[in-house]
Amino acid sequence: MFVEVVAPAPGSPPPRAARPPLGRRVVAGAQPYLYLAPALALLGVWTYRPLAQTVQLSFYSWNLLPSTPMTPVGLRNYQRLIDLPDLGQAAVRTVVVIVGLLPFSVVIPVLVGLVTRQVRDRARVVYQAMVFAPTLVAPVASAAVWQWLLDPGAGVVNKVLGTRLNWLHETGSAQFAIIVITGWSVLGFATLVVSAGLAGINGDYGEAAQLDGASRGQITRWITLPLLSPTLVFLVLMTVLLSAQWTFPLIDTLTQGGPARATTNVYYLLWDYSFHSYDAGLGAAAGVLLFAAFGLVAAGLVRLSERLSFHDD
Amino acid sequence: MKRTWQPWGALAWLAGILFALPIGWMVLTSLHSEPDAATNPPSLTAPLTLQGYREFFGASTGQSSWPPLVNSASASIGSTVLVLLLAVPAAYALSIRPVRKWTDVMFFFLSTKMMPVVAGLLPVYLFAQKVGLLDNISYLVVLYTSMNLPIAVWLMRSFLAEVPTEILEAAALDGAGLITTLRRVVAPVAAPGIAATALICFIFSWNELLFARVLTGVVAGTAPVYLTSFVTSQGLFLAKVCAAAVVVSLPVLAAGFAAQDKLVQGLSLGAVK
Repeated sequence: MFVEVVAPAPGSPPPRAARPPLGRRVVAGAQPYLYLAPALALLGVWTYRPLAQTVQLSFYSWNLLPSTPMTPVGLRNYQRLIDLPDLGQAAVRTVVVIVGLLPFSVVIPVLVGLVTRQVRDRARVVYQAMVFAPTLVAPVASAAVWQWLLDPGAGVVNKVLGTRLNWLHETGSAQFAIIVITGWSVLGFATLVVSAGLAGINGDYGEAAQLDGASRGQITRWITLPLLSPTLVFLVLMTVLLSAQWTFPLIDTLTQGGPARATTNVYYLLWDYSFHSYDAGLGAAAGVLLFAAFGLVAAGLVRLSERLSFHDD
Repeated sequence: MKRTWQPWGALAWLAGILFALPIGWMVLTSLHSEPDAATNPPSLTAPLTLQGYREFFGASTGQSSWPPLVNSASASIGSTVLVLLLAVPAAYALSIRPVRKWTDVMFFFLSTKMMPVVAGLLPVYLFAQKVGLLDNISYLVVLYTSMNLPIAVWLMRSFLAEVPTEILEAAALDGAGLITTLRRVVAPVAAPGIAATALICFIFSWNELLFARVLTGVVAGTAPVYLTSFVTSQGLFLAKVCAAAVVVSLPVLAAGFAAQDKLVQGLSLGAVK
């Protein structure tokens, strides 16, 4: 069926659907930005502004007392940081923590995720709950529990291993203990992320490969793991950036950075400078360096992940 | 698929049980009397008692443990409510009615989580000192809100993206405003996800130690801060310490198990990719 339409006379304006007046259109167009504005403003004020102020503080010498004046010292705080051995040692310990945590935050969660993938519904929920529980328990609470488990006299760990180590008070083992306890509490969260990643993989690929005669191991190696790569990259990124932060409650409760600074990583060092030594300038300078280093690492990892990740779409 | 995983499965269960053992031990010890609690490994046959809990709540010392718990509850619930109020519209503007370059905005949100919190802590402390907000729970509410906001926006975006666009278009054609759309169209689909997000924010705020440790004291001290001092001062009274750890952990365990399933779903909906 054809409907005859009268062509508009040349020169006359094209017919327009009734449009709302300009003012309302502007409001409607701006609406999504208005929804975002409060959230963005809050983050700007409470995360970026403090960082800017940290940069400012790093050029002063001050003991945090309102009664004493801040004296400008130029770059001397940075000079002190470089001259002191603390920061370098803490940086090395931070790397140790990160590397030590990777098995707990990436390797084991992937294994657990792959094994439990085939477990049926109810059992899976129970299992996940079991693995998830240590993540949920307040870090300070798990510190309390582990302090007793690692007790040099009556601790279960020493009994089971047949050792007589004073785990948290010997330089060799304290860092190891902190890594294991942190790993124990991070593993549940990482497993949850891996489960989510696995749930997001389309099962058709695996089935097609199986029809073609691929073994379970081959499917895992050549289909599942590559499709899981964005999740893995995400977990590595989290581990690198947040490891030191995760250890803080445990170090603060269990070792206070000791013995002989063996568990002092950059995160704890910064806290120590600012709130134990009350050296605002030094703490701020360390904060600036830490922020710059983390920023560089984060940017590098994000770029690397774009190269390495294998996407489904 | 054929069930060929039994040996692996058994191993996985064994590992899982071993993994949860410290928490089982914590709960069991909290229910023992002090002499029974001191035996190691804990006795499974010792009589159970609530004495540890009574002691934690000040049965013999008269020192109540309620204020830090109430402080933690106010900080966690207050900040979670604020996070939802801010994150729902923001997530809406990133998924249902996306602004241009919404991925950049997402990246901005995430970037704030990549920074070491401790690097900006000093100015946060000094500001509180200047305006008299030290040891004040409302300051923690604000800080926890900004701490959890990026995660909430991130998760919520993936839950809102689940709402079918056809229904949204139909609602828009019928002239439904934001509130109506949210209530009648978005909420029924996204509510469980929003609930899970709220629970996660609650957990993170409840467990937070660094801010609370620096910014609160006697009046506004939260449960983790209180627990830290409890562990150092009451270390010899194991049943009491374990009872304290259980009480402080219970709210987050409950919240976590409630949110667990939805979280797997929320994280898998493109939130990680």
